Amino acid sequence: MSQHVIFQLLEALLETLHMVAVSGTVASVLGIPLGVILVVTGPGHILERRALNRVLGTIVNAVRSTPFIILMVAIIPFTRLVVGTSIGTAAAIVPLTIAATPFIARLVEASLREVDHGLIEAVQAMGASPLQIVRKVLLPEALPGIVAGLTITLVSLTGFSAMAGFVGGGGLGDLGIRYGYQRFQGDVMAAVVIILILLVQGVQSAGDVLARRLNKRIIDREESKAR
Amino acid sequence: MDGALEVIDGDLNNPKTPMPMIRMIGVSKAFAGADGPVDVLRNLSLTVEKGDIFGIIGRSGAGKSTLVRCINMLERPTSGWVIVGGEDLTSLPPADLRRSRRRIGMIFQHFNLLSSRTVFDNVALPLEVIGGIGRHEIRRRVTPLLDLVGLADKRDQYPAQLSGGQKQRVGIARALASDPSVLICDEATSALDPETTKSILALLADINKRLNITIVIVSHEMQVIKELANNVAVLDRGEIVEEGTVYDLFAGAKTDVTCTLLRDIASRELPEAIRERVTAEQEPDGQPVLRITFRGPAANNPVLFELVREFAAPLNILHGHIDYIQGKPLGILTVAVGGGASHAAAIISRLNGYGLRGEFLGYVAARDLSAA
Repeated sequence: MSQHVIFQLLEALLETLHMVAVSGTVASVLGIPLGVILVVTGPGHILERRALNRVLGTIVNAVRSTPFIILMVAIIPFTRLVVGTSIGTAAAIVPLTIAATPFIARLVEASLREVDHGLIEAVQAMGASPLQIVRKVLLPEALPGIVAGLTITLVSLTGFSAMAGFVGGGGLGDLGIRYGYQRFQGDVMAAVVIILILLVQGVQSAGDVLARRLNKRIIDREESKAR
Repeated sequence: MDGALEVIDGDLNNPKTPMPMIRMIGVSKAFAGADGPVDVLRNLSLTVEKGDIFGIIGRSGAGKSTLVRCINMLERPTSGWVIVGGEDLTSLPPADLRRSRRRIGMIFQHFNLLSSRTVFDNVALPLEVIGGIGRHEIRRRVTPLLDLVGLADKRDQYPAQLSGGQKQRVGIARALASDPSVLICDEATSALDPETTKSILALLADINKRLNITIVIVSHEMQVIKELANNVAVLDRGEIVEEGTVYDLFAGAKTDVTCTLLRDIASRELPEAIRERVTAEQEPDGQPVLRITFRGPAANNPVLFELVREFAAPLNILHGHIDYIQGKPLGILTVAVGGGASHAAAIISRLNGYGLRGEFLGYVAARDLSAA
């Protein structure tokens, strides 16, 4: 493999990391509160708002059921509005963020629903406000699940980012298609796949370790001894 | 409606009556069910005095938990008033209700500790909820509470590392953190083994004495009520069917529900072998069977001896049991009275004269007695 190709691989890796990191971060900032709202406005919960809950749920489902490649094209005007262009890495980040936000929201919602209702009642009995219930009970108790959900999201985003080449976003997937598929350079394709595997493994392992550390419901033996 | 409010005003304005800690007046609660609303509490009223330990007992589904959860508005009554410390909680707007809830601590059957927080941080939580309390102040208030419940050495452990009894101790320390005047215990020992239950009840009794905190304890176990409570209400199908001191309840249960609840721990009933020999009709050699309940100060007198001397009637003891409730003896003795049925009525009236309770249960044939 020529030095040129190695340089291209490195550049593509950085583009992928850039796209995944930015879209993952922005989607978390938007998706976690959205997940919280989906839970607390649900029937019988601390801030029940049935109409709002139904509207948000429908929007989330609509975005999630749109194929990414279609979503990317469909929101081009919006993308141009936000980042000023419809091509390039920045232009790919917008649809990636929009696709990941409802994904995160649903995963966060699922984790928050796992929190025992008895805990909510216990802090209600202390006189906690809805905001305190979210901050002191729901989020901390669901944190291991939320971290696991964010890990899944980052892995999915890495996969989605391969389609960014469609809008000239670059990245590993795009490189693999252009060199490996369109120019029949199998070694480049193989290198891309290996880097992606390592990347995904790394993200997943880091997420698993973090989620386990945060989970105090099951205390590891060694950790318990160390205390 | 107006009448009930007048009662409240009357009490508040009368300096002679000390204000009760908790008053529930005409409280009803209905839940939406598949076939229309289900009445869980029906027009129920009760009063808990300051510093009392008040037990609420009933079979499962009687509405006990709903009742105590109405005290701090975890369940909002469909109608009626709940007055805690002179404040009608049913009429408070949300923010004021949250502030008032700090005066009411609560512990739960399943402890409801936050798994993500250490023992210390769980106990500190109510203080964080109050807000504006610095870290030093929190430590100053949490540490003695951990000492009180005997968990000072577990302060940095997580609930997952504790036993059930230790978890409930954390629950108790947490409930006391906001310095409440009422502590609600909702089946607080039902998930614990008998020995742990005893130690938790002892801790609650100690807290009641030391902090003069009013305790309301709900249980389906008479043993728990007997050990801890001074006063008790028996709940059945959303209504209070019997109410009074625990001693009086044991000494003279009036309703079937109470008798059933008492059966497990107080040997009021005759053993099967004897009971099946007791008949309503008197046979030629039948002897009357009496149940004598020894209660109050008279329980200390040598009553049996005096009966034998006065009536010259041989008393055949069939079954007996003496219990101590709140340190006072309560005896239940079942005897067959020899020497003719005419004695029975006279003995009962004499017992009543002593301040004891005599009940006529039936007859038992003398030959059956010797067989037994």
